[in-house]
Amino acid sequence: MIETKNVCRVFPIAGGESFQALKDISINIPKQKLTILRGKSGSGKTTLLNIIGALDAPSSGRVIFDGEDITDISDKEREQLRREKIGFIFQSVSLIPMMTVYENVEFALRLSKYKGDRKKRVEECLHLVGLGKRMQHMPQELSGGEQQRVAIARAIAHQPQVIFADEPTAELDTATSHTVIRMFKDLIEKQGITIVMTTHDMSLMGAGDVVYTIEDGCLKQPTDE
Amino acid sequence: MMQIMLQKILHKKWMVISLLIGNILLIAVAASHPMYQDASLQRMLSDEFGTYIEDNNKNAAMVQLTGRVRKNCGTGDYMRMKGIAEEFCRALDVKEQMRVVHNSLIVSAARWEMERDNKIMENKLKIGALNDMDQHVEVVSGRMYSTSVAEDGYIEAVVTMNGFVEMNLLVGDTMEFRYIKDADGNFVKVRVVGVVNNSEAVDPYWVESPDTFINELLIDPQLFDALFVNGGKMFEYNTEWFIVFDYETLDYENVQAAINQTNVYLENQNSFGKMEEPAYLALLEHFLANEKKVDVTLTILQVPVLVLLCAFLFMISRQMIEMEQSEISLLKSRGASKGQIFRLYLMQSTFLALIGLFAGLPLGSFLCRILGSASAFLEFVQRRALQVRYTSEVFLYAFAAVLVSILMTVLPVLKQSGISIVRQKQSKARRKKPLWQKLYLDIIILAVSLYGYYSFGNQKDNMVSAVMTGEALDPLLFLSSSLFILGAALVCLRLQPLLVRFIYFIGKKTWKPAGYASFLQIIRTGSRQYFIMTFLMLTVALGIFNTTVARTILANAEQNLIYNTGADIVIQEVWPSNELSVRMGMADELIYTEPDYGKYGQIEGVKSMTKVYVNSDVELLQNSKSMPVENLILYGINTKTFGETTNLKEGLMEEHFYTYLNKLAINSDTVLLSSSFRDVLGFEVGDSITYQASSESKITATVCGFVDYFPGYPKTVHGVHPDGTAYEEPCYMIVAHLSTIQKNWGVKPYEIWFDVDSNDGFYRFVEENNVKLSKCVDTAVELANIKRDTLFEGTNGILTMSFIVILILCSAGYLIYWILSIRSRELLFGIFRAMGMSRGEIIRMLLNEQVFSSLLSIGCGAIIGVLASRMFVPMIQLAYSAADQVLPMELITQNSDMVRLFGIIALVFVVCLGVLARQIFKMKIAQALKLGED
Repeated sequence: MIETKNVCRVFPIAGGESFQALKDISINIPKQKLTILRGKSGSGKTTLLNIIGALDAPSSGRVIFDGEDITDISDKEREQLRREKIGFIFQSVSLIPMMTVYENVEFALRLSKYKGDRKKRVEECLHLVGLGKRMQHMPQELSGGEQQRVAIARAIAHQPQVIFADEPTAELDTATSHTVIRMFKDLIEKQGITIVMTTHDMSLMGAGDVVYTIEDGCLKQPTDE
Repeated sequence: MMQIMLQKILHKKWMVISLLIGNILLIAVAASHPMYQDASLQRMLSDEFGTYIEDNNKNAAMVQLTGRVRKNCGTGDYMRMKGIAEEFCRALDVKEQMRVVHNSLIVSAARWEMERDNKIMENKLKIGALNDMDQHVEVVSGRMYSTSVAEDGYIEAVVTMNGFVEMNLLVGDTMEFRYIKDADGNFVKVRVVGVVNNSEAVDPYWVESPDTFINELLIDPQLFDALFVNGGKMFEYNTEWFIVFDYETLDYENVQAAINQTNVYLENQNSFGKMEEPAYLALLEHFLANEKKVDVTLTILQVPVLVLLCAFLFMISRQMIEMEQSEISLLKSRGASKGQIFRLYLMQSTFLALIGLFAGLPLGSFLCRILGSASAFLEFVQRRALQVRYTSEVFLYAFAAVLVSILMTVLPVLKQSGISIVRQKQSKARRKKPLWQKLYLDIIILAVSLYGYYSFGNQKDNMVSAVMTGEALDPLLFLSSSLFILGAALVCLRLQPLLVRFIYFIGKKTWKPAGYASFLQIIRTGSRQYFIMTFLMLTVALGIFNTTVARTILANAEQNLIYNTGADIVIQEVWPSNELSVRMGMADELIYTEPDYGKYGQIEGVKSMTKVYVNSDVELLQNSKSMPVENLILYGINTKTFGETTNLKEGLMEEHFYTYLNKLAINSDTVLLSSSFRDVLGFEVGDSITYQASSESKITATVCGFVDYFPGYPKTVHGVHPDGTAYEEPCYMIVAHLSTIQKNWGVKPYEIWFDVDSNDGFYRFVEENNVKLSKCVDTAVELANIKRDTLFEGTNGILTMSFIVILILCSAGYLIYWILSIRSRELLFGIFRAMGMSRGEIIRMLLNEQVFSSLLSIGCGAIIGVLASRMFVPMIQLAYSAADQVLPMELITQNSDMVRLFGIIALVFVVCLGVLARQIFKMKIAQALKLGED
């Protein structure tokens, strides 16, 4: 589904020096699987996620998304890609605070110019994550786990091919974390979605179909299940 | 703690800069108020004296003491008077400019030999002395007197030029006073040694012109004292003391004391010394009456901008604290107490306020100078600079401003420092109605202001009479207008969410993501914007209101002045007549000789001119009996040239002014009447009317029309009854043909009205040809005087300053508010971008937000401003021209002001968008999102 070839990412830092966040990363993310990017904080896993999620571009190397080389595409094309084929879930507070749960999900549909019945789809997604009854709540009124479930519902609403989740469980307790992972598994199974997530939680590693370990910007040998 | 504070300040430079701007402006405006009050009142006082000198050719800053020393009553009275003269200026606390002591023996017969004719002359002369005279004269002939009696026993004296001619003297003549003997019993003998004249054309020393010394021999003043005052023998002599003080040194705050002191002197006169009521007394009393009016008016005018400044500080401070909430909670979690946090902010506010004080005071004095050079709204001229003083009052105001500023910036902390993070998050989630909405404060404020509006509307007459009796404008009226603006703005604020919600619901299903998000943003977080919206509304409304007040007041005063004068220049030449012969009974009839009228036609710059006979001593007759009509004025005009020379604003009457003149022109036996004849006395077109001037024949004419307005015709006469109430009476006017009047009454002195391009040529002509004028009114000069009037100048100055301050606040506030509002939403934009929104869409979203918050506020502000102007300006205007108001009041707004106001707002808008766009383009999505993970 997504392939990176020798991706490097260099950030300029103060004093004219630069920091190499990613070094020569080549990975392959299989379709309809849960891929985990593992690593300590600062290891570069989020940077990698941003690059394969079309939020950022690599300094060198290539990124192939669904058979297309997206390394040098324009901002506009990136936006369209994100809008239509990708869904994002972030560590926390990624919900739009002034919108209700329902509106948050519906907004993703508006953005992707969803053709079908938006109301139906929103309700469907929220039922899927078990929040059918809290649609008119404001995000701040929900617990962390509930918020993350809304984020998942929003991420899948426009039926993307891939979901990128950056530390989706970092702020959740273990039980909730496992619920989220189970939900991911369900999505892959029932909706045929590909999911890439980063985490530093070792207890979740077993859930991944593919696990890449990143240390100091370098890839350690992939371990297939 | 100091370190934390400084770090905080460096960190939040935008906030701090805007807080500083607010602080500096607040302190500058507050300090400029007493400074300007002080300087302009001082200038007004010295202008009073200056104008008096211009008008009367005499210095009013003078007191005159006179007395007569008699032979039998010692020098006690004289010394007492001398004492008063010496302490006078000290008692009034002014600088003495000149003290002229004029002593002169009473006239007595003097005899001298006229060698050239071999004749003995005898004449009544007097010996006098003026102190320090030698410093103020030049010797025209001969030499100056010596300071002692000559060896041959003669006292040396000089005479003035005029005296020289009048007394028919020669230098070297000696004379003997036959009835005055010195202490030794010898006749006093005087030798004329010189002729003197004033050394400088204008010299305050010559209170009595040298020309008036026609029978006086002037000797050395010390010698006079030695011989006649302290000489051991009593003489009878007159003594005059003229004390001239420097009116510039009279502090306006001492005016009341000076009046009181002068009155003490006036009341304690005795038979010996007499003090004339000095001319300055009336001036000072006039000043005092005006001072209060100026004082109150200037204060009232300044209040709105001060309130706005406080609101600005409050807003920025609140914004800052909102941004620092996480820091506050961090500090708290590390164990900082509520008091410590409060102290931290208190320190910061104090620090900023003190910087504001140092920068604000000089800026205040600068503002004050700008105020002093305002000639009209947003117009400045080079003018006599105001003397800015740092009085104790200035510091008092400045410190009060510092305190208010600290209070305003610390107030939001009090509210916030107690709230914990949990409660804060909860409160964010719940959309609460603000307190003022729950209490319906907006409706209440609006209702109060409308009540004020109607009650003032009903008491218009009382207001006119209050103004007529010299009172200032009722501060409540101004308060009502300010409350109206505030109340209306709050009501708009209440309605805004309803409007937005309505529009949102109209296309709920079809809104594009940008529009959708922005509507939700406004609807859900709208109350956060209430402050900036209120601020924008107040700014625009006050801006419009201020320009309208300033423009209207000045324009109406000018138009009324032009109307009341009648033409560009109105003069009356002094006509030679046989008045003297009539008075002495040598002739029966007063006959005038008409000066050449045609000569004025050659003056460069004169476009047209006309003769206007004006007589306000005319009687109306009915069946040969006099009709008691007061305030009757007769004009005799030549319709053609009158029409060419004068003009009347269109729209005042049903038909054009010329139409009425044409009606009159048809028949020389007709007259135009003021409409008061029709409305009050019941005259109709076609009636005949008979009028008569004292001791002239009757003239009967047919009424050909009525006019409401006519150049120079005051529709009503205002006055004040002795009991203090003002009254208004209609004024009656007859406009007849000049030829008819001259045919019946002969050629009488008439006024000449001119229409000129420039008045330079006219004055040159008058001067070169030595034309004597008994009346000369120049509209251009009068117009300039209006602008110089302290009340007008102050009003213009303060309204201009407020306007400029408002513009600065508006720009700064708006810019800061939006920059901060964007910064605090960076994470949100990151989410939007991650979800695939383009930068353009985000900018569109912000634009849409702007349209429904800022643009809507600006629009509401404009409407409120126009409404407030329509309602309140006519009443405020009364304070400035109640008595002179003849023409219907007209609201004036100048497009250029609106262009300035909205131009600057548009500029700020564009700058804001520029900053926004830059921030959004600069923003790295990944980084923005990271922000949220901290």
